[in-house]
Amino acid sequence: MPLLTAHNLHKTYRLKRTSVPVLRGVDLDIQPAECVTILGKSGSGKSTLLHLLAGLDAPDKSPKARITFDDKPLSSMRTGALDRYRNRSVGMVFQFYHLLPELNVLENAMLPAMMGANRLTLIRRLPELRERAADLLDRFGLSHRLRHRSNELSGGERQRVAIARALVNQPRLLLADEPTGNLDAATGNAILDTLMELRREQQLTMVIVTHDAAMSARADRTLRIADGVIQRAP
Amino acid sequence: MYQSLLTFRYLRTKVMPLLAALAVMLCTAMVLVVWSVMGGFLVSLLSMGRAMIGDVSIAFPVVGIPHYEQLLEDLEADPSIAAACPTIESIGMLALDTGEQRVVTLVGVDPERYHAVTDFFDRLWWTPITEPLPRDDLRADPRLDNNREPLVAPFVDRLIAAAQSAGLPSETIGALRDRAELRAQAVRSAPITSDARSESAEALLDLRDLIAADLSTVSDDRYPALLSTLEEAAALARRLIRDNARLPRLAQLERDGRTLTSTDPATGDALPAMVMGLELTRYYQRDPAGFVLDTWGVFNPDERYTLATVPLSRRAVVVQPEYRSLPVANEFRTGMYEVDSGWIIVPLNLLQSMLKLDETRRVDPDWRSQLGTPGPPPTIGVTPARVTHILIRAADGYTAAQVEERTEDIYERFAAQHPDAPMQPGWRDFNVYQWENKPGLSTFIAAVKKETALVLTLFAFISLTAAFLVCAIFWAMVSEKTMDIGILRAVGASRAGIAWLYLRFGLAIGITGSLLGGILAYLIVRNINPIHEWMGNALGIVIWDPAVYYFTDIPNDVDPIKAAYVLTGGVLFSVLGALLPALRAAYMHPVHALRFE
Repeated sequence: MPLLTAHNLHKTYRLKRTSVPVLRGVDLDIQPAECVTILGKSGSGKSTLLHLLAGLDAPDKSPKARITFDDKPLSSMRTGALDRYRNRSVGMVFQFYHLLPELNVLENAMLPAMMGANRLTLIRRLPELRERAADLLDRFGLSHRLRHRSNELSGGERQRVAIARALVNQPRLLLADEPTGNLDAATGNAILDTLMELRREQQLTMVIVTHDAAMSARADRTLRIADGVIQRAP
Repeated sequence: MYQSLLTFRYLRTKVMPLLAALAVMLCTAMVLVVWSVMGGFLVSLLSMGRAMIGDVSIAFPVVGIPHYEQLLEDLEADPSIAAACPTIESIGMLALDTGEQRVVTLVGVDPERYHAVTDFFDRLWWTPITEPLPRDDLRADPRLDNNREPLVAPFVDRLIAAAQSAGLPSETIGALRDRAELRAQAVRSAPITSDARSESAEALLDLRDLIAADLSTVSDDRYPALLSTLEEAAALARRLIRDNARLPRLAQLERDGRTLTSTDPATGDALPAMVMGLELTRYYQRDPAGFVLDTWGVFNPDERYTLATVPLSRRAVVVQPEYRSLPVANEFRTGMYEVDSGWIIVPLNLLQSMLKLDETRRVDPDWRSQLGTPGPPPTIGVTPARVTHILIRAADGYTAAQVEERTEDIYERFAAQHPDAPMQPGWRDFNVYQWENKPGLSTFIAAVKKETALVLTLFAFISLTAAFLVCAIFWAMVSEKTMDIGILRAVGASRAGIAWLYLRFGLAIGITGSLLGGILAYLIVRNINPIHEWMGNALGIVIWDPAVYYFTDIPNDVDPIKAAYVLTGGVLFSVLGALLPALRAAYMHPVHALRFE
C-alpha cells in the first residue's frame, strides 16, 4: 500500500482577474521507503505539489481531488490534525534552508520537537530531545557548531541543520524542495549522501524536487512534471 | 515552549520591542505619577477639611437647635462618639481697614469644646515654631523663635567677601571682620525678651550702627557690590530688631487664639476676639519658587475689624442687622481654601447674641394692646438659647457612617422629648450628614474628585498611544518575520501557537515596560519635591504653586493598590496592542509566508 497518494490534483492561482493553472490533474503514488525525485522547469508546479503534499496548501476543490497519507485523506483532517501531520509525519527541507536567525543550531534543530507536546511533558522530555537533536547534528558533523547562530554557518552547514530539524521528530516522509539547489556540487553530493544513508537506515520515504540530474540518478524513481501533469521520466 | 524561547530571543535581539517597552514604561509612569499626586492631594484636602468640621454634623440653620446641652449630653454618652460641640454658622460681612469688604462665614464656637472635636488649636497659625516649613531655607518665617543664628552668620561672611571683592585694604577688612564678629556674637547670645531696651535689642542696634558706620567709610562708587551687601545687611539688622519685638507676641497670640479673647491694652480686660482664616488676610504669601515671604500681610493683631451679620426670624425674615468691632486674636489655617478664605471663628455666645439665638424672655403678645398699662411687659416664658450646628467626632474604631446612623437615632429620641426641637421631612438626609457631605464643601470635594478622574481619564487615553505604538511595532515585526511565520507553520506550529507567540511577546513587553514604569514612577513621586524645587531654582518652572494648591509639599506617596491597577493596565494595553498583529500572523497563509521576500 502506498504511503502517500495524490489523485487528480488541480491548483490554480488567481491574480486579480487572471487565473494561472499550475497543476492540471496530478496523480502519484509513493511507496514506503521509496525515494522519488520530481524534475521540472521553473514554474512547472514542483514546489506547489510539494506544498500540497505537506498539507501547507489545499488543491482546488473537486470531488475527485484527493491526497492520502497512510490511507488517511488530508482533506478530512481538521486544522489541528493537519498541524500534527506536518509536525510529526512529515519533515520539510527547503532550498534556502529557512532557519530562524534568532536561534542557535541546536535550538533550530529542536524546534519541531518543542511544538509536539505540552509544557510539562516537554520539560520532562527536554533532555531526551536535546540529546536526539545533538546526535543528529553530530552525525552531520556539526557537533562543534551547536551554539552557533545560522548566520555563522556555511550554506552546506545550514542545509544540514535544516535536515536535522526535518528529521528530529522521526517522520516517515521527507519532502525536500531543491535541497542542493543553492550549494556547490561537492557540498550538494555530501548532502545527498547523508540523505541516502538516512533513507537506508530509517526506511525514510523521500520526495525530492530537484533540477539536479545526479540526484535524480540516485533515486528509485524519477517523475517529470510538465504542463501541470506528471510524466514518467524517460 | 518555543514561544518562550522566541520571545526571550526577540526581546534580546530586537531594538523595536525595547522601544515599545520604553513607551509602555513612560505611559505607565506618567499615569501613576499623576494619580499618586492628585490622589494624595485629595486625601490631604479631605483630612484637612475634616479637621475643622468633625466627622458628623447635625445642622438646622436659621431655626437652630434648642436644649442643645441636653443633646450634647445624649450624644457624648454614646460609645461611638468621642466628643460633640455646639456651633453656630451664619453668613456675615467683614470690613477690613483697607476699606475692603468680604462676605464670610461666621462660626461661633466654644474654643475648648470645638478643639475636642476638630483639633482647632493645632490649626492656629500664630504660634511659636522651632522648625521652618519645607523650602523655607532662609528661615524667613517670622514665627520661628530661633531665626537669628542662621541669619547673622552668613551676614558676616557676605560682608567680608564683599569687602574683599571690592579690593579694600586687608587691614580695613581685618578690622571690619573683628568688629562684625564681636557684635554678631552679642546678637547671637543675647536673650529674646519683649523689653525694647533689652541686651539683645542693644546688640542689634549696635550691629546696625556698625553697618551704618562702615557704609559711610566706603561709600564710594568704586565699591557697588560692597555697598549693596551692606544695604542688605542693614535690612537684615532692621529685621532682627523687628523679630525681636515680634517673637514674644506669638505666645500671647496663641493664648488669645485658644480663648478667642484679646487683652484690652487700656484696662487689661479680656475682650472677645475673632480668629480669621489665613487666606482672608492674604498672609500666606509665597514667591513663585514657593518660599515664604517675610510679611505680616494684612493681619495685624493690634487692629480691630468690623463684623456684620443679619439675624433672621424662624421664617427667615430679616430682624435687625448687627455689627461688632472685634480685635483679631489669631489666624488659622486648615489647608482648605474654602475654609481658610471664608471662615471667621468667634465666641459662641457673641454670635448667639448677634443672631438673637441666645436665651430670651417671651412676653405677653397682647400686652401692647392694653394701653396705659404701667411697667415692662409681663414675661410668659423663656425661649432657650439655640445653636445651628452640632459637630461630632467619632470614637476610635467607628466610621463616620456608623456615627451618622447613631446620631440620627439619638436626635430622633431627643426631638421626641422636646417638641420645640426642629424636625422636618427628610431631616435624616438633609440635617444629619457626614463631614464630606456638608453643603458647599461637598461640591468642592466632588469638583476635586471629578478633576482627578478627568485628568486620569485624559492620561489613560493618552496612554492608549502606547497600545497603538505596540500595535504599529508588532505589525512591522510581523511583516519582517513573515518568512519565520511560514517556517514555523511548515514545521507544525498551529495558528493559535503563532498568535500566542505574538501575544506573549506583547505580554512580555507590557510586563517589562510596566515594571520599569512602576519603578520610575516610584522614584519620581518619592523625590517629587526635590525635583520640583530644582526645577524652580534652576529653570524657574513652578508647576505646583502652593498659593493655588494650599499645600507646601506635593503629596509623595504611591498607593500600592493604585500602582497595581496602573501596572495591570499597562500590561493589558500592551497585549491589546499586540492582538491585531498576532491575529494577522496567525491567519497568514503559510505558503505565501514561505515565498515572502
